[in-house]
Amino acid sequence: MMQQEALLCVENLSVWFPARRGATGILTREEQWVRAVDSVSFSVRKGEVMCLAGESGSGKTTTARAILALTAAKFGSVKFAGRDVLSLSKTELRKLRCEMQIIFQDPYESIDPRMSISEILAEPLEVNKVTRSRKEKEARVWNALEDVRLLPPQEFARRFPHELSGGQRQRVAIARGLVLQPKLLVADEPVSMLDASIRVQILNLLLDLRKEYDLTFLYITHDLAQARYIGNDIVIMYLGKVMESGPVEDVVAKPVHPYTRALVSNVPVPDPTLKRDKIAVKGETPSALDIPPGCRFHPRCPYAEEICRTKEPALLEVGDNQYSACHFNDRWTA
Amino acid sequence: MHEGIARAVENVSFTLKKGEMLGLAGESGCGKTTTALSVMRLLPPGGKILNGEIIVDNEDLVKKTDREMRDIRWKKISMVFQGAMNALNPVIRVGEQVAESIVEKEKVSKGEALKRARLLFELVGLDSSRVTNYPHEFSGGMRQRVMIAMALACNPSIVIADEPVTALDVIVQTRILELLKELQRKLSLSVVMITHDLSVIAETCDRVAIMYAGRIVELGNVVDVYKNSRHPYTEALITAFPSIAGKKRRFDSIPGDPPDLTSPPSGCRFHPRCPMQQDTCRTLDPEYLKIGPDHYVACHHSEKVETT
Repeated sequence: MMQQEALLCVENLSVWFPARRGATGILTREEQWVRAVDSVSFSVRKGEVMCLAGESGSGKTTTARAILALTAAKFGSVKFAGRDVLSLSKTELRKLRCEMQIIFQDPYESIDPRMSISEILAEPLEVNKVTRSRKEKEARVWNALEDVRLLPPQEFARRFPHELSGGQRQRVAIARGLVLQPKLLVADEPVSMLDASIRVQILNLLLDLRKEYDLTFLYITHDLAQARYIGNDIVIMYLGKVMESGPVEDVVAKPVHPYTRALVSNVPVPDPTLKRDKIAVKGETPSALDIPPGCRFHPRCPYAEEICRTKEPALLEVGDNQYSACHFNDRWTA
Repeated sequence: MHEGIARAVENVSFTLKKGEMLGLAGESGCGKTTTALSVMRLLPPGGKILNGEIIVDNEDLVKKTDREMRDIRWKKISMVFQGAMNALNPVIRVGEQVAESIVEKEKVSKGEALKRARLLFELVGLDSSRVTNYPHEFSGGMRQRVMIAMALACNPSIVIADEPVTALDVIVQTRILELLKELQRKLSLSVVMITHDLSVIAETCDRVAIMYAGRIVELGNVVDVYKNSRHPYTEALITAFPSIAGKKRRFDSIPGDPPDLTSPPSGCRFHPRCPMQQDTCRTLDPEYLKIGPDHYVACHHSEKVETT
């Protein structure tokens, strides 16, 4: 999956959390791990929107946090603009963080209600000692507000979060992500809390910003329709593992992996005349403490055979830049 | 937020046909839940029904006393509240919580109620042996089944489900929606499904009412409303709803935000955001008119809005 112009390259990234289970675990000192992210690899080209998609518990947010070194990785490497993120010192990391910023889901939680908008936007500049000049700070705050179309900026800079609507708050959160002029913006479900009419406004804003600044996005979502709207490429995760990846349009139109096919078929569409067959999936997603052996989807897969229970499938190319981790890839692409 | 009187729901009229599933769609604050709580006569303190009527089986619920409502609420009309699946008591066995809710509503013994809880579990596709489990042993989908079981405990004929699949993963969503459909058929229920998700309504409902700022702006069968919408708000909302089907293209978004209902815009409440606004829209509140068999719309330009 390595590509020349990759801005971000994630290889065999694993994030495990220690867990102890019951008295026997303590007695035997047997180490138990929650394997939240397990050997995940993908790369993001400069200027593209890469979507990390999956259901709750799939490890998409943990993957993103590990990429930003906000959560410690157990194994693997993260290369960002040629640097190895996971081996940087604290000071180097701080510098690097100016180039990779994150936007969170809930604009009511992610911005401090006691700070004015200008204080919220100036904070990253101060923390990272970008500039001491008050004039320059103000200019950069206003620029960021203009970028997210909160106009006039001098007017919005004076306001407080409670004076803003949910959509406007999320614009402030995006502006805060932009004020350091990062190369990569990680957006974790940035429109999931917003209403339908506001959602499209924000998605369009992100697309415009991408064009204006040649920004690269890592876009985390559970919603494949959103991913298709905003994304170029997609990585579908299940229980900490990549099941399928490739161009969004291809993955959504002709998914290969049985999990992706089930997932796509279950996404409702806003058209009452379209009747689509939904693929039923048995049971529920198991706990990350208890990951099934072999292919981790096998207990729920309608096509599981003996090999699926014992051997973990590799992520292999099945189409133009499309990859799937199923022992029977050939069968689905035939 | 401004202080004052918020007219959360105004001039809302609709009928629920026997055995149908009616979708109530709109963005947050548009009055979907308030409409449902009015029907249940469970408006929060300070909330009041100023006028109008709610007729169920030839009786006006607005005129009922609180005592009279006790024979109607849960028994004739019942509701699955939004997010209630996450409000189950974590230290009480799930079956007991269902039984408790039965005892509260009807004069039955605890033992009888527990027996009914087991039957209700089977009805909603849960193994009856799981009545002794605690909420943390249940997945989100299973907890939502418990909430549906509670709503069905006293054999209502009308069920209002408020955002029943929001926050559930899509595969679980499908199962819950299929369960609701199946129960509707089996028990000949009439269902009002409240959701902000237009694709959920497209796939499950017979008819849909689109609300905006406390009003129903359009109502009709789902195919008419989605394929031949006659209100600019409906049109904009539906054509700009991201989908995994259809051609991939950029949508125009609706500018601005929904209004604050303590000081709603004059005339048509959608006019400040409407691409078709004219002088009349700013001054005159559009009437809610019948424009086709079972298709209603409140717009001065309803004859001009056509799906492109």
